[in-house]
Amino acid sequence: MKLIWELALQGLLNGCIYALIAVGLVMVYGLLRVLHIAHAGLFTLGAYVSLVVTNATGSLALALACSVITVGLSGIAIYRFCYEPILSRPPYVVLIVSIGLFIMMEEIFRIVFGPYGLSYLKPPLQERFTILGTGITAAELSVVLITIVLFATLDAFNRFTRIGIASRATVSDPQMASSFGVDIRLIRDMTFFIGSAFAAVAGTMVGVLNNLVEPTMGSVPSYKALAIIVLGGMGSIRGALASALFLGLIEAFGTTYLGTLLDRDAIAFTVLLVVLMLRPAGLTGKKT
Amino acid sequence: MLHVENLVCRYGKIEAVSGISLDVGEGQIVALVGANGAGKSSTIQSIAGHVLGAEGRITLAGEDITALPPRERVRKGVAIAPEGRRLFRDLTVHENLSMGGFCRPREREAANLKRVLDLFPRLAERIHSRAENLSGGEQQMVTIGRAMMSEPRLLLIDELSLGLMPKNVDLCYEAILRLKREGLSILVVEQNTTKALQVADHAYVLSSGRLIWKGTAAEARDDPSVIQAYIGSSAH
Ligand SMILES: Nc1ncnc2c1ncn2[C@@H]1O[C@H](COP(=O)(O)OP(=O)(O)O)[C@@H](O)[C@H]1O
Ligand SMILES: [Mg+2]
Repeated sequence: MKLIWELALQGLLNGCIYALIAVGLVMVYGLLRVLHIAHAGLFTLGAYVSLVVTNATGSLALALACSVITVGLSGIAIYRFCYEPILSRPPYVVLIVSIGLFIMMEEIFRIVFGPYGLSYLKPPLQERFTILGTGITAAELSVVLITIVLFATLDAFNRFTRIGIASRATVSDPQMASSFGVDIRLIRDMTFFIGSAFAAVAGTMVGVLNNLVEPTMGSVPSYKALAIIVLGGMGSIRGALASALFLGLIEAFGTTYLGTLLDRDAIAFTVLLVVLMLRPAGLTGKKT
Repeated sequence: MLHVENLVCRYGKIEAVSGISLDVGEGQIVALVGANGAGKSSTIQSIAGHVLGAEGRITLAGEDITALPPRERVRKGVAIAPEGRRLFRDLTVHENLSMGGFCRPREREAANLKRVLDLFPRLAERIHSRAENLSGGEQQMVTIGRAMMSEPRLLLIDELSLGLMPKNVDLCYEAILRLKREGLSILVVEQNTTKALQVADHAYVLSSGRLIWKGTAAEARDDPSVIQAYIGSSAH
């Protein structure tokens, strides 16, 4: 029983992290029909900024704020300088640029921060609690709470604010949205900012949980997040959240019970294949 | 209200509209009719600012709006109910209407919404339904309502009655007549010529991108051969 709780917690944690990463991809895909691979580089950037600022100032909160702003603005810069000029080209052109950008970012991290990874001088959020008989650290608890708060806020923003509704309208029909006065460019900037900010939070929390930030930490999340948005039915934020949690749990239990057969990533992608065979539009997608 | 001069629209090598001029007077309904592919939608889309590289001059109440992007034109008072309706499918009726008024101050949204629901009482019952779940008639009402939320001076409607049941066609025509009485200028594109000519003040007939007839709707009604002669043969 204890094992099950621990696995569920582990799955929930991974699911939360995946969801925080995938939401940016989903938002960008919905708006531009582009697979924003470089998003995983922003996740790593977020982890580095938080670690460096925390080690310099001792404040994780301040670091998180710096990270969110830096990474959010970097997201906008990627859109403005790398994607916008080539949006009229076929989607694979943007995809190639995005992959190139991701590789470049990994190399820059390696050059600037060194190849071996950095750790927190005084690892934050290490306090331990016991919930339902299971030990949990403050860092783990924070991941879950932050994810709930951020997704609830995003959902409320998208449904109840004018600009949030405008961004959904833009996903639905950009030309008509602009025809009624929506500034499409502003919506795109905003989308990249929000999606990147979520990735910054995810990167920060992964850095804290593992007490390690390394140049390649974005590569596994990059393809895992792709699997999640496919599972979630492309372009649906709720779908991505559900499939991120689903995948997190599957991985946690699968690694324990099937670990001798398949490793964690193999389990994730086996499930992806099976789900897509049964439901080609994704877990939450409509049958068409 | 609207004055279009020498409008030309090209899509690559295809010239869809070849230099047409038309006017919509204040508080008038003007019908633009013609067979499929005549260039009606291209004309209306150019007035809304959607056709890149359209040539000619478009003025609204004397002000040249030719160079303005769509989102500036709607602020000036041009609203469109486009062909195929183009509702925001995932959004509710309320959200669609609210988006229609995006360019206007939020404080006026409630009053505008009330006016739209007054025009189409049926929408009040469906206000929280997603647009994609509405019937064709209801969707057309939302499309017109969404345009009205932007407080237009000129309303452009493309294929008002296409695909609607007769009862809903009547409802929509009653609505635009009421809007006309309130002083709105309306340019309506129709393949349903008879219906359009019943409500219009003036009519233009378009064929292969050229204007081939213009006059008062009364003239066209009194002598249906005028229009039948031009589009009867090519209409299906
Ligand atoms: N986006 C487009 N790209 C290329 N050709 C177009 C486009 N839109 C319309 N056309 C062409 O322009 C001509 C006029 O079309 P349209 O304005 O839609 O006519 P109507 O609304 O009267 O049926 C047609 O020959 C059509 O094929
Ligand atoms: Mg048309």
